[in-house]
Amino acid sequence: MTPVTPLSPADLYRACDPAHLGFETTSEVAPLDEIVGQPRAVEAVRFGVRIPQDGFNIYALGPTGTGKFTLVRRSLEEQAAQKPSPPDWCYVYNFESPYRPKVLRLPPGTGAQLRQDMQQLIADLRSALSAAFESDEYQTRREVIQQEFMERQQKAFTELQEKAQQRGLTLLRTPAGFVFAPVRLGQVLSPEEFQRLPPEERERITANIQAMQEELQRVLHQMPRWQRELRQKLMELDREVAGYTVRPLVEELRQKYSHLEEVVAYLNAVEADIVANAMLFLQPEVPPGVPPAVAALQQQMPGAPLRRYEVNVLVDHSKATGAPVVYEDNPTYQNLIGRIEHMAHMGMLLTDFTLIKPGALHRANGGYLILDAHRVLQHPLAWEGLKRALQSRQLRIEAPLQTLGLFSTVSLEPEPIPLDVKVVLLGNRLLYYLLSALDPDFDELFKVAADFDDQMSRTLEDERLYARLVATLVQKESLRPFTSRAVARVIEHSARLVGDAERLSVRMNRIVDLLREADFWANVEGAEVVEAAHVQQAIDAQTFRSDRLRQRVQEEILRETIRIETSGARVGQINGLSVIDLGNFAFGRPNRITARVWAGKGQVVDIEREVKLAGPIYSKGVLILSSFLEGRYATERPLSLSASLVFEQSYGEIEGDSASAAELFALLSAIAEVPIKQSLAVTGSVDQHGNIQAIGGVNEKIEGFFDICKARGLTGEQGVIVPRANVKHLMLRADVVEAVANGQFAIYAIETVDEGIELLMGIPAGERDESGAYPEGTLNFLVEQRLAKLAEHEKGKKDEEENSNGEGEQDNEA
Amino acid sequence: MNDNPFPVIRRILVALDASSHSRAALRAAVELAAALDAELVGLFVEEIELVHLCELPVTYEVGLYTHRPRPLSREYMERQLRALARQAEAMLAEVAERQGVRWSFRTVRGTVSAEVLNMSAESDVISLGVVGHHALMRAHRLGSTVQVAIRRASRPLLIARQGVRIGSPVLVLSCDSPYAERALALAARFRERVGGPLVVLVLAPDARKRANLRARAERWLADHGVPAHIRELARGDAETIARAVEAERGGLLVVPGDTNCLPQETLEALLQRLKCPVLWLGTTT
Repeated sequence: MTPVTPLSPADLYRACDPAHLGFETTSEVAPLDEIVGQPRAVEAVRFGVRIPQDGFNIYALGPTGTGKFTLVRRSLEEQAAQKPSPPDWCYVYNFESPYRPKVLRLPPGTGAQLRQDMQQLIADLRSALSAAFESDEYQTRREVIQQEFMERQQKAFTELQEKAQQRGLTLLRTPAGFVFAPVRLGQVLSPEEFQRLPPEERERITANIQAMQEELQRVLHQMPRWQRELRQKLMELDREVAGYTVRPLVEELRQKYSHLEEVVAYLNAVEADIVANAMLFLQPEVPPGVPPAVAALQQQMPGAPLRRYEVNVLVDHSKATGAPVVYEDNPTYQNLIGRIEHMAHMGMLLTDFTLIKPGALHRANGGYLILDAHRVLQHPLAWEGLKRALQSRQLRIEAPLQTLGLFSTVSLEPEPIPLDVKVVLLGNRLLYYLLSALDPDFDELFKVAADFDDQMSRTLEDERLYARLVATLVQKESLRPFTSRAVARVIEHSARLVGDAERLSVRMNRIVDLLREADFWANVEGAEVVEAAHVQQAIDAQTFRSDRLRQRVQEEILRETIRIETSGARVGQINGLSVIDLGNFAFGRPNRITARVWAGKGQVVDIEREVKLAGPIYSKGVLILSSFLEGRYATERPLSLSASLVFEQSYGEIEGDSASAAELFALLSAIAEVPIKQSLAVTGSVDQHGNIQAIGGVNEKIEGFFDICKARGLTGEQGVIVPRANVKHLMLRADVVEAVANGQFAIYAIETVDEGIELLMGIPAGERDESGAYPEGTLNFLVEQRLAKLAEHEKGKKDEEENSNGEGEQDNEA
Repeated sequence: MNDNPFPVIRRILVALDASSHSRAALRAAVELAAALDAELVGLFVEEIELVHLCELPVTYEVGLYTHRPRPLSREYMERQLRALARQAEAMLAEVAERQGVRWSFRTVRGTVSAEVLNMSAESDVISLGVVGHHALMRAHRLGSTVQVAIRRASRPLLIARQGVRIGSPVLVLSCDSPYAERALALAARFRERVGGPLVVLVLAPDARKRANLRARAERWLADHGVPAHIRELARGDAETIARAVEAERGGLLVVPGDTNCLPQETLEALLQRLKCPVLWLGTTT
């Protein structure tokens, strides 16, 4: 086996060559008009936008900052511009059933026009009707009808009075009715005079009075009928006069809208209603005794008589070119579906069809609606409302409590509007998978998933494209031009952000922030252009702002509160590496891992797991290494050792298998009693055959150990052992690369446990010879020797136990 | 011409019987009282004839709405009349107080026309509804009280019809009479309250006389700074005057109380024909 040599500085950092980018500063670069690094998402969105069938709504999934909104909006706007503007939608009064406002579908721009025409009609009718009803003709005809009634009534009473007089009686009016009284010489008889009359005369008077009363009753019986006739005639007159006034005015509108059947039907209903309620137009706008301000307010309240002739233009496309693209940033139920507002009046909540307000779905109807999935799910009922609208393909405005069946007050039930909209939800991946798994409707309604990646490949061609993207962002943000060196530094940082020398980050929000900050530092310095140094300053400043915790940990290590050795050698102790991720910032820290062994039954006690501070993947790593041990050393006899492993001075939960290689080395050192160099740190996971496998956060881990070594003084002995598979991920800090170049620090890449053994313990691992034994002086030889010793010790102990048990049995038998 | 053209009006008598015409008379009287800062006296007459009637054993009252005959008693009738009086008083209080007019109310027993005549000596104007609550039974359109008052009261009368309010514009009939300026002055005073122009109807069959009258009216109007327009009438019959009033959409017609100017029959015919309230200035003003 050839000894492992340190990696060369070139392996540690893949620089971007500014000369290769093809410009001096970004001001020379034409802006880029495409989305970079998202071929899958771009294709999905294009497809989803164009396919007209039901259910092909789009869910754009991916981390924030990957350009979901930009891509979706741009694609939708391109498509929308080619589509015709959708119709206007208006709600109007339903004259047959006022609680169910009718909907009118009108060509774009016609809604506002109809509203204006109706307002004009009502204003015209106010003056036309009051002129008609004040006209001499109307007044005279009304007078004639009333006169006729009066005369008929008076004639009946005059006849009664005459008949009464013929019988020596008179008809008198009392406060509550009528009385017939006997008269003599024009005077009512006094009681005394009446008593003096002969009895037959009195009887005659009584009989006459009775007869006349019956006649009076007949007349009175007829009066209600006459009054009804009077009212009927007056009403007919009113209708006739109103009809003559209203018809020509409405006819004008009927002609204008003759091509729209629904509007003509509505105008017919309006005409009939105005004719029947013409008196509403004759009431003064400001009734006597009411202050004008109050009167104006009353006219705006629901239930004000003339509001019913208004047109509520719910969606007005008069200024639209193409189909609408709507983004609703507060997708509550009501903001999506629309709502019925109420006005408080004298302690009551009143509403009418003019208070129906559109939701985002109304505005987007015939076009496209963009929503944030997380926000939709946050608002009660919004998701259910959206789904119901998409499934039923119609918009039914209901109060949210009504939807739940908790609210049954009389309210409006507006006629539903047919819905034709494509919805695009923007959200993260987790939400997409959760919805897909848990909501049976989801896959039916959102058939197109546009999966946004967070990284892209990094070929030379990609670097050039990425540079153009950076240049475009610089121009869009109106920043100072960036030199090609500065852009190259941005590209390198982008690779570092995804922790991969061969890939670039497409989470452009973090890149834009970096650009802005670099521009800021250039501004502070008074520079015309942004240099690589400014970009570096921005990166350093970002790191400095975030690294309080890192500094704290490093200080504690340097002050030896946390014990980490970086020189010398120890049995059963090794430097592992872990990563602490703080969201936007991650850093590595060394951990001291120790192992102890003793004679036992082949158990490896993982102390972290015992105290439940280990995650399942960590535990899995420990189990794998114990099976490696058994596979290599216990093929012929059982492993007679027990061992314990611990992350020293670790007080939180540990997860991940990246320490399994380090643990294995510590364990082997403990078994063979061969010391491990403390100047090295190890990261990597191990499989059952002893191969070293890739881990994450390799850059942070190396830098974490480097920082401690550098603070204590670099000796040239120090270094980090990493899996070979991780070499392509290396994008290390400049100071690390420099130290390596100067021979002060080393990075080793290994593929097998055996390579690591040699590096860490200074002796070869050793391979079995023909006899099946390990050669002397190798680690494996020492391990086997020790295991054999432990096995013998264990066997002796067992025999002793069995003997003592046998004696006991004998005793029992005896 | 008179040295003191303005008639003194301090107290207005209004006869109330809770009928709709009398309500109109009350409203007109309140407006006039407010304009002239006069006091209002409401009068309710308990008709003696009705009380006597109850003592006849053969009389039954047939209800206007129930149509059923019921026996009459004096207590029942008196209670009804008191209730009616209370209604009348409440109506007076409400209307007068809304306009801030001083008022008092009296109930007397007797016949309406006699009691109105009795009270007229203490009053400067008598306000009456064109017909009383006997309207239903009358073939003609002028109540007996109004007729008696015109013939015998010799006081200015304010006659109003149900549903019609006193208002603008104020019209005044001007003829060859020594009382013409009084009528003009009163009309001008009332116009100040209700606004609008003053309309002077100059009435004389003879064209030259009409021109003289017109000049006289114009002079007076100019002297007193009253905005007005003048309309000439060659015929003095009720129909001609009524048409002129209707053409102007008059809110009140002021008529000088001179029988040379407007004979009683013409006045009565005019009252039957006209809708707007009429203030007739009486024969001895």
